[in-house]
Amino acid sequence: MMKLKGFANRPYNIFFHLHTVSGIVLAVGLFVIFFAGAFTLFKSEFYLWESPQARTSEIRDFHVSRVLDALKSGNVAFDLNDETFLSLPTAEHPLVQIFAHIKPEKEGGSEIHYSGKMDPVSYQMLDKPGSTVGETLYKLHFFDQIPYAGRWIAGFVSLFFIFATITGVLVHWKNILTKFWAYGFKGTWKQIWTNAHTVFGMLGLPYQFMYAVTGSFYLLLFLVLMPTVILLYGGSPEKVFKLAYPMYNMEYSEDAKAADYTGGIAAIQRKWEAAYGKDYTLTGIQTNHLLREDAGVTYRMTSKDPKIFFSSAYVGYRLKEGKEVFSSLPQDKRFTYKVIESIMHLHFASFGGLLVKAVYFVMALFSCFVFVSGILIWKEARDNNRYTAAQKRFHWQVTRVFLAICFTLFPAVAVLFSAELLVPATDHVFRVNTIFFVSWLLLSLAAMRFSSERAITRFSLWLGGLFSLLVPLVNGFVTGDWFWKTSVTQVWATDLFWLATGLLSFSVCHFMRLPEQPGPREPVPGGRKVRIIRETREKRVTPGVSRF
Amino acid sequence: MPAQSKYLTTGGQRAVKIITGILGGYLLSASFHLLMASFPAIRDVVIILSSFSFFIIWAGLLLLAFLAKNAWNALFLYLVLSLVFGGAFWYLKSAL
Repeated sequence: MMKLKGFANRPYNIFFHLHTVSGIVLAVGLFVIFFAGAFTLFKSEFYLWESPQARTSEIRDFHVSRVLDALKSGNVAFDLNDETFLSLPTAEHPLVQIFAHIKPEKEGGSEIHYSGKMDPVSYQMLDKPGSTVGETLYKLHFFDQIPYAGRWIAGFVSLFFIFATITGVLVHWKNILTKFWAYGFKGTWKQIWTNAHTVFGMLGLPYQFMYAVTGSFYLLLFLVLMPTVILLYGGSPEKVFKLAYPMYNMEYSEDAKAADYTGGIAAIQRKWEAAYGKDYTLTGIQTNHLLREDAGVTYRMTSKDPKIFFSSAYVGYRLKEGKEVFSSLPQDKRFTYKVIESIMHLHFASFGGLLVKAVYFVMALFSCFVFVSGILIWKEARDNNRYTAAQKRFHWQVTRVFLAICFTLFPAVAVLFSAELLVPATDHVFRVNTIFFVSWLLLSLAAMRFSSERAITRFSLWLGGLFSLLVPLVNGFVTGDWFWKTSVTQVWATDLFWLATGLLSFSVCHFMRLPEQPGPREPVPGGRKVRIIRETREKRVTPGVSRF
Repeated sequence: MPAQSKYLTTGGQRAVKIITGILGGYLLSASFHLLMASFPAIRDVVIILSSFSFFIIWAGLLLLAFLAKNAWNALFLYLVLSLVFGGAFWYLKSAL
C-alpha cells in the first residue's frame, strides 16, 4: 500500500510532543465527556425509566392555551413580554419545559432567566424535578456541576481536542494508509496500545473532529461572536441570532400597547393543525410580547419524513389577527439556518433515528478507548532506562490515577441509575447526585490503591457488571415493572441494556488476558550495555513502520 | 519513544509560543473573520460559518506557532497580521 511522505524530523517531533502533552492533559476530561455524553444521547429515551410516576400518566386534552393561562396566573412573576419558550410534552417525555424570564425586582434591573417544568395534566409548576439521571449525566458531559468554571473548562477541552486531533493526524500521517486496519494483539504492549490508539483514532476521526468542533460551538460561541457583535453590530447580538434562527426575524415594537390576545392561540392551533399537522410534529412554542398588541408566537416543529436531514421547521403567527407571518420549511430554508441546524443535528444525533444514536453510542465508547490507550502509550513509551526510577514511578502513578478515575465512572453510572429509584422523594435530586459523586470518588480512590492496571480494570469491570445487573433488579422490586412484564418500551429496553452490559462486563473480565504489570520496569543493573541490546531488539520488532 | 527533546523549545521561548498560539491565534482568527465579514455580499454567510471555522483556524494557528524557530518572530507575525486584517476591516466597514 502507498506510503505517504512523512514530515522532517523537526516538525514531526514538534507535532508528536504537542500531541503527547495535549493528549495527556485532556485524556481524563475527554473520557468523562464522551462517556457521560454517550448516555446523554438517550436522555429522553430512558426518561420513562427514571421517573416511574410518568410511566402511567397519559396526556389527553393538552392545550397550549392552558399553559399560557397558568403562566399568567401562577405565583412566579414571569415577564411574558420577553421571550418565552415552551417545549411540549411527548409520550416518552411527558413534561412541559419552560424557559422564560422573570421580572427584575427593580425597574431596569438585569433580566433573570428561568427554566422549569410543568405537569401537562394538572398544569401545575413542578418546583423540584422528580428525577435526575438524564440531567446529571447531561450536565456532567460539560462539567456543569463545577460552578462558574465548568463550562469554560469543557469548552477549552473541546477547543484543544481539535488541536489534539489535528496533531494526531499529522503524527500518524506517514502510516495513515498502510496502517488503516492494523489493529491486532501482536507484539509488545506498547505496540498493541499504539495500534489500538491509531486505528480507533483513525476510524473515529470524523466523529471525534465533529464533536471537538461542535462542542466548542456550544461552549465557546461567545468568544467567536464577541468581536463581530461589538465591532460590526454595535453590541446587539440579536442581528446574529436573526442569521441563525428564523424566529428572530419577527418584528416587535417597543411602543406596542399592552393587550391580551392570548385567547387567539386556540384558533392558531386549529390553523396550524390544518396546514402543517399532517407533515410535522409540534415540538415547541416560542412567544414574545405575549401581553402586548403585537404578540407573536412561533411554532417549532420537525418533519415527519425520516429521510429529511434538515427536519426542523418554523411558522410564526401574530396572536391578534391569527395570521401566519413567516414560515421556514425544510424545502425553502436559508443557507445560514441550515448551517446552525446541521451543527445541532450532528451534535445531538437528532437525525436518522435510533440506529444513528446507537452508532454514536458505540463510537463514543471507541473514543474513550482511544483516550485510555493514549494514556497507556504515554506510560509505556517512558518505561525505559532513559528515565530515572522516580520519573518512571511518577508516570506509573499518573496512569493509575487516570485509569482509576476513568474506569470507575462505569460502575458509578450504574449506581446512579439504581439510586434514582431507591432514594425517596424528599430532597431526591440532591441525594441521588451525592450518592453518584461520592460513590465515583470512593470507587476511584479504591481503584487507585491497586498496584496494576489489570487489577484496576478487573475491579471496575466486576463492580460495573455487578451494579449493572442490579439496575433491572432495582427497577423490578421498586416499581414492579419487571422487564418481561412491562409494556413500556423505554422501561424494558433500559433494563435489558443494563442486563446485557452487566453480562458483557463479566464476560470481558473473565476472558480478557491482560498482563500482570505490578510496576515500572526496574532499572537494569549494568546500565548502558543492556539498554542498547533492548533498543536494537525493539527496533527489529517494528521495522521502520512505527515511529513511536 | 517520546519526542526527541533536541527539536523542542523550552523555558521563555515555549511560554511565548503558548501565548502566541492561544491569544495571538485568537486575535488573528478573529481579525481574519472580521475582514471577511466586512464584505456585505458574503457577510451573513461568513458570520454563520465562523461559528465553527473560527475554532478550526484558532487550533491550526496554535499549532503553527510551535513550528516557529523563534517565538518572538511568531508573536510579531501574528500581531502584525491581526493589525493588518483589523485595519483593513475598519477601513472596508465604512467604505463598503
